[in-house]
Amino acid sequence: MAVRVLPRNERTVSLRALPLISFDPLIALAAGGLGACSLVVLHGAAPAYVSRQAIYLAVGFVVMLSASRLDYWRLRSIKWLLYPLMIGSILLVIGAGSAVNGASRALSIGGVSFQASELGKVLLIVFLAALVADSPRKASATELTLKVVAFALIPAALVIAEPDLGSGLVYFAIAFAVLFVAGIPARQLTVLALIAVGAFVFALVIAPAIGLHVLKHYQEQRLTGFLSPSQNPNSYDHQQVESVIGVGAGEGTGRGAGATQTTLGLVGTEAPTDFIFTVVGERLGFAGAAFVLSLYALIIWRTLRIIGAARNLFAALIAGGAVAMLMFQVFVNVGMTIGIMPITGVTLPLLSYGGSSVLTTFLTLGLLQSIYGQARAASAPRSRALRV
Amino acid sequence: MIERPVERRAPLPPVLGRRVELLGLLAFVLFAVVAFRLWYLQILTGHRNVSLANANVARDIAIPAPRGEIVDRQGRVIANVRSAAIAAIVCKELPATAAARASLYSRVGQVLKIPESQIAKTVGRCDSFAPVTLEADIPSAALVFLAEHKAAFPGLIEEQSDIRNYPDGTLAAQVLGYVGDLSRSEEADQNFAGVPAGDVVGQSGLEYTYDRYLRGRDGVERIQVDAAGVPTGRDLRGTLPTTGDSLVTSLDLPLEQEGLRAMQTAMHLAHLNGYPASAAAFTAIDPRNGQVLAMGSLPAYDPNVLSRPYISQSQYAQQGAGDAFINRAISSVFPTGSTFKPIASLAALSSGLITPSSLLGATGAGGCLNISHQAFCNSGHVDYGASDLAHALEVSEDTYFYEVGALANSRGPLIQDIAHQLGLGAPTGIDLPNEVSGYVPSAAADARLDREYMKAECTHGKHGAFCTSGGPIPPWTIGQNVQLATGQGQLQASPIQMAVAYSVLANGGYVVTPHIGLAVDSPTGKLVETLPAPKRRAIPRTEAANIPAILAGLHLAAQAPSGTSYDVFGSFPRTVYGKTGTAQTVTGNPHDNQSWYVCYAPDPKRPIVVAVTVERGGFGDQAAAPAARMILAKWFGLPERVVRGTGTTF
Repeated sequence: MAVRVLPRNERTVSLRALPLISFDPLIALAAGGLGACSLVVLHGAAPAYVSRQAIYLAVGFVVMLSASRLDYWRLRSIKWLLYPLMIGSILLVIGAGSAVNGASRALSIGGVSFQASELGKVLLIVFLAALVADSPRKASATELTLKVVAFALIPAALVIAEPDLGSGLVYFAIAFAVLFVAGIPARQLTVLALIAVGAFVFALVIAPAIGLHVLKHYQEQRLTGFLSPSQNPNSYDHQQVESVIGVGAGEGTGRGAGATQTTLGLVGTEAPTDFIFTVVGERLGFAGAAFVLSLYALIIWRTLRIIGAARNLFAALIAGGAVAMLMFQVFVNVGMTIGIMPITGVTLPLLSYGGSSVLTTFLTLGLLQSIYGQARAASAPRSRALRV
Repeated sequence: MIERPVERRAPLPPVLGRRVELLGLLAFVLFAVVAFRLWYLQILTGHRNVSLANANVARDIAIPAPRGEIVDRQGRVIANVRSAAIAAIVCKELPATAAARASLYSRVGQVLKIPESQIAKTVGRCDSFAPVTLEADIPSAALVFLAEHKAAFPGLIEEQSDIRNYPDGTLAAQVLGYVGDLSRSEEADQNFAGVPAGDVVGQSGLEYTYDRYLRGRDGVERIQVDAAGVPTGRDLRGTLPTTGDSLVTSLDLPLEQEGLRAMQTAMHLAHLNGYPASAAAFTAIDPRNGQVLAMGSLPAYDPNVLSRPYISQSQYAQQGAGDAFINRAISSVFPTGSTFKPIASLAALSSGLITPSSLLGATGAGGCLNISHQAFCNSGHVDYGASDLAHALEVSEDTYFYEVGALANSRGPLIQDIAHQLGLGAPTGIDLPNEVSGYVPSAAADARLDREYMKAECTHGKHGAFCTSGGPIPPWTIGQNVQLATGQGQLQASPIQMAVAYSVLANGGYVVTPHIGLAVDSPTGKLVETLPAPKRRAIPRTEAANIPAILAGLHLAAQAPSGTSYDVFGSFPRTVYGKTGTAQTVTGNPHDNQSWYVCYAPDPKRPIVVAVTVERGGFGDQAAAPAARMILAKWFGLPERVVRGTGTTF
């Protein structure tokens, strides 16, 4: 059958055809709810951060609305601009970044510090999705897998060297999810998973045993500390022990305002960022923690729906990468504060204080909204698949 | 029906639906795990976590930082720390009732020999877990007693702690200062910004000026306490104290020690001559840059005693006897006597009033000069005849300078202007607290004092004693300018001011700012910061051109056979430019005369200016000059010799 090739602008649904509100209201609602929770929790834990976080959230919301109006399809053609942009910005931070906690993770621009590793997450999602979607059909699955892994490995290694182990692991999760959604055979995915496990065992067990330290000492301690919580307050898992106690002390409905002061001093300066969920757990109790988690579940459920409804591979892969990013960050961060995951320094999307993290998450959600809007507009006449 | 365009896209993988389901399943499992864990922590074991969290209160206890050392220009220690047995009170462990506390204080006071009221006062400001030190150097008998009766002394702890130590005792006491607890009233002092009350800080001298370097940074011991505030015995991560940095000074320890001996000798010599000699001060500076090589003041306190946690009233009074806390080298001003004559000379030469060869001061028999119907006479009524400048300085001919003073008066404050230019009448800016200005009398300055008096004492219903006469100071007369030219009368200057003024003669025309702090070293001896050397100020070239003529006179005064200090410095194997001074004080009693000697010994590498003054010490040549010679001899490594002077000029 002859294939009619249409002019480029007809390939996708014209934006003019979209209704003004063409995005998933549930995602927007959940995101807004998480932002509100962030402000409430910060208000009790670190009032000084509230106003800045409010600005980040407001700007982020606008970024999401703007991105939802963008044609995500165009990103596919500029993938070779996105990748150097990501690598370049990470290198810039490493080169000229301001030292925070002895690490160079952020670049200070006019008083606002910019974490390239955060923006890198969404850039990597789009790039890998485009890379896979554009690969020739006759290319073997192995070749594709190797390409994706190689392109993900470079930024991940750079970010881990910053050192920002958490973001580096998110990059791997994204790459794995993109391959998973792309339909790479299960056998290859199993091999990849085994390699990942092997790398961890090497970095944490074998290499230190032979005197080679791939990770910094504190990273090793954090990654293994949760397995055997110690009573030694100078050990690196001390924060985690205090965090678990703090979350538990929240009981059913939380200890309310002020009570957090007791654990805050022990969790330390990272309470507004990496350990924000500790404050949620202690102040708002099981009810509040469950509410926050249900908002994340809502976003993840809607994102999975978007994968299923996507009309092309590129869109499905973007949504797949996004869902991996969100799931990984939520589970690893929350797991860290409740003592079932190691301390890796991953932020909790939309809840943790920090402009780079908030904006990156909103940008990702905006892309999802763009995919949703186009899929819905295209399928509206024929299908109700995406009706809420 | 419109056929939708077929897009050139990679097809959706057939397994996509299945994989999305798997992802959903994974998400479900993960959320279930988290939810179960939260349920377990918050609902099932929440109660236990609440009690753990209530116990989770961190309290910080400050660990005092050992104070940095003060070292001399060669790195020799002038002040350091030593370990001492201290007794301290931990307030939170004290008995609850006031009666029990009072009884405890009384028992502790008996053991430590501290008044009960003092303990109550010390503990009164304690509101944390940080122990407050009651006393140091606890005798071992008391330590043993306290250890054996621990239960009877709740809250009292004994431990080893670093306390300030001054190995040389009273040496340079007022220059070094002493340390003590930062009082509430001192908290507003910018010098101690950010230091919590109760911390040991410098109270005076270098300890005060350079406290921010010396004090170090307290460490923090974090302990966990439960809801009732009782320590759980669990230590949290704290920080170790950072030892204070060392202050490298310009002082020379051997010269400082010799200076102390020299002052004691000067006072002893004065006593032999029948003068009471109650106090003395000296300073030695490098005339090129103002670095203070040595400085001292007697009587002196022992900073080791002053820096103790507890000092009794009688001990304090004993230490402070004779105003021992005052650094007489910078904080006391005296009439300078004839040591002022070179300054008057510079003024007269620079203004063109005289030339070095002008002959003045001829008197005839009786050695007196009549100015404005008043007789001004040479010391001992000696008739020196008409002299040129060099000879006038050599023999310290008063009538020469009386005439200079009289001539200058008609031309306005010539002498006063030069005196101010050379640093008199204003603080020199030395890096020590409590420096005073002194006073250079003039018609304008006197009038200003009168105005200040009138403002303070003669308004708002106050009626001071001199309100009707327009102030306490009589109107300016030519006689006062005549007195000023010889350094008598109302003129008041400190030894450091005189040393700076003579440095201008020594260095060819630069007013230096004396200073002691040179650099800050880390505890391990690495340079942290070089303290900026204060700027020096040049006097006009036309004035500086007259210096050699004055130096010629000062050289004759020290080392020519008819010089006023020849009997002391004639035998000194190096060139010395020096001037004696014997100042009459307000009492008019010759026994109260202030003995002065200010001199300059040139050297290409280590020139030195020394100023010595002895209160109620008699003639400059008899008390101050021998002390100056001892200091110079030490500085140049010459044999130490006490050479008594017999000169009786002013």
